[in-house]
Amino acid sequence: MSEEIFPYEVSKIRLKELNLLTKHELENMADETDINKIISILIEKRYVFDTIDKIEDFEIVLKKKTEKLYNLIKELIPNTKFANIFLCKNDYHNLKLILKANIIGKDYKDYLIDLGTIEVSKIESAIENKDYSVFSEQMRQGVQMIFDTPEYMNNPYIIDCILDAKNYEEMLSISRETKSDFIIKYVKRVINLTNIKTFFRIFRKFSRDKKIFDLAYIEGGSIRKNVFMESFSQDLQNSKLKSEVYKEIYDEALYNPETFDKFCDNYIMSYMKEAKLKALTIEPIVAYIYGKETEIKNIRILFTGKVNNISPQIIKERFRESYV
Amino acid sequence: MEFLEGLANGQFLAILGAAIAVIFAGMGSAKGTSIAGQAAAGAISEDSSKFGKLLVLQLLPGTQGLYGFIIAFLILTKAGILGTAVELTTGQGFQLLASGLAVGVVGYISGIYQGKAAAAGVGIVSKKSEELGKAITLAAIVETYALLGLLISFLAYNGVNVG
Repeated sequence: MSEEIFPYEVSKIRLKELNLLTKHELENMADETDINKIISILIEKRYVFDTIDKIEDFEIVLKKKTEKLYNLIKELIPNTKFANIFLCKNDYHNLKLILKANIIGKDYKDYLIDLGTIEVSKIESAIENKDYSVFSEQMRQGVQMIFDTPEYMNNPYIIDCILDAKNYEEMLSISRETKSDFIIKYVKRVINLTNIKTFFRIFRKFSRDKKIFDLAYIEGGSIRKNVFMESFSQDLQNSKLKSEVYKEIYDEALYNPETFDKFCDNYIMSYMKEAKLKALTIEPIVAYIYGKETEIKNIRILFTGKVNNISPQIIKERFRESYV
Repeated sequence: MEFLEGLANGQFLAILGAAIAVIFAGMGSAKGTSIAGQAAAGAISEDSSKFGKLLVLQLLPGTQGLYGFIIAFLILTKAGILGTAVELTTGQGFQLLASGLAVGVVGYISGIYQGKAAAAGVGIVSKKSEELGKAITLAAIVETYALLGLLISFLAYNGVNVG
């Protein structure tokens, strides 16, 4: 069967790609000492700085840009299910903050992201009233799992583990509904990398606690849970997991844990770049969204570095691979 | 019985051939220009200065409909529907019907595919306006097959002797 085509949307995206920051432009900005010059480059790339008085408030600019990106997705692909692949992570982010705030009692309002599929106030009242009807199936399961695991009161990382797992499971479920192989493979790759990342983190920082991994494991990837479980009792150099994962990925997780997040982002980006060869199908749209999200992440790295007087070299090392 | 006899009427069959040529080739062009037009509209929504260049790409899949129309016109003329009236046998009617098939079927399929190639070309021109020539060339290759369909239809039409 022929794939659905999006001629209008893809052409629009092709022109929008011209405004994406290249690696060279990002590196030049990292070297630039005058913050006003950086801002003027970003204004040329359609970032809006009118709303802030001082550069420390750059998050407001990035939030506006992210909002614009998500509105573009909703406009281009009115099928909201598709947009939810990218939006649902904000629901889980907000839910995590609200649940953790209940334990720690810290104010979390400034960190909420109002760009999800469920209004923040509805998430707050759902938790308060224990009425989870506004939640998706996976969110409901996640909340139930958290309350069934009392250890979360002492270890908020459990909340992250469970909700991250449910977030990716929801993404996979939505991606299957889109019937796009490209999107399904993208989500599966993210799941595999996240499972590997979680395994190494628990192995190193949580005394190989299989119970936490059991909660954090994301279903739907290509590596089965028992491979990870068996590997917990083995040496990392000769684990069963090593034989199931590409050497390049395993070695990176084993020898360079501090840069593994960056490696994962770049790994997904190299997959996204395959979309450059597609002319009319959904791939270029998905890749643009990922490319723009990555660009926003890079600008956050840039401004955080500049505000904290971090050297250009270190900022450059932290940059993720650009889509263009 | 009268209905079946009507179906075997030479002129009816010739009209059917003309209709097939014009309907299918026209459908191919309509679909093709629509795909290329949607792609052009997406690019123009971001940069309206590209309208002139993109219009050329949108027009490319429009030729199939024209080829279908030419063959249909010729068939109708030979069948006596247009111009001087002639007597057509059932066999001659079938021959004219068959001559319309090539341009109709090939026009339908090539129109859609040329529309996709033109829409992909819009992606090239969106980023590099100076590459319009290459985008047109790539889409124009598909035209070859529409022309072959037209040629065969014309040769077949030309070989039918009536009157």
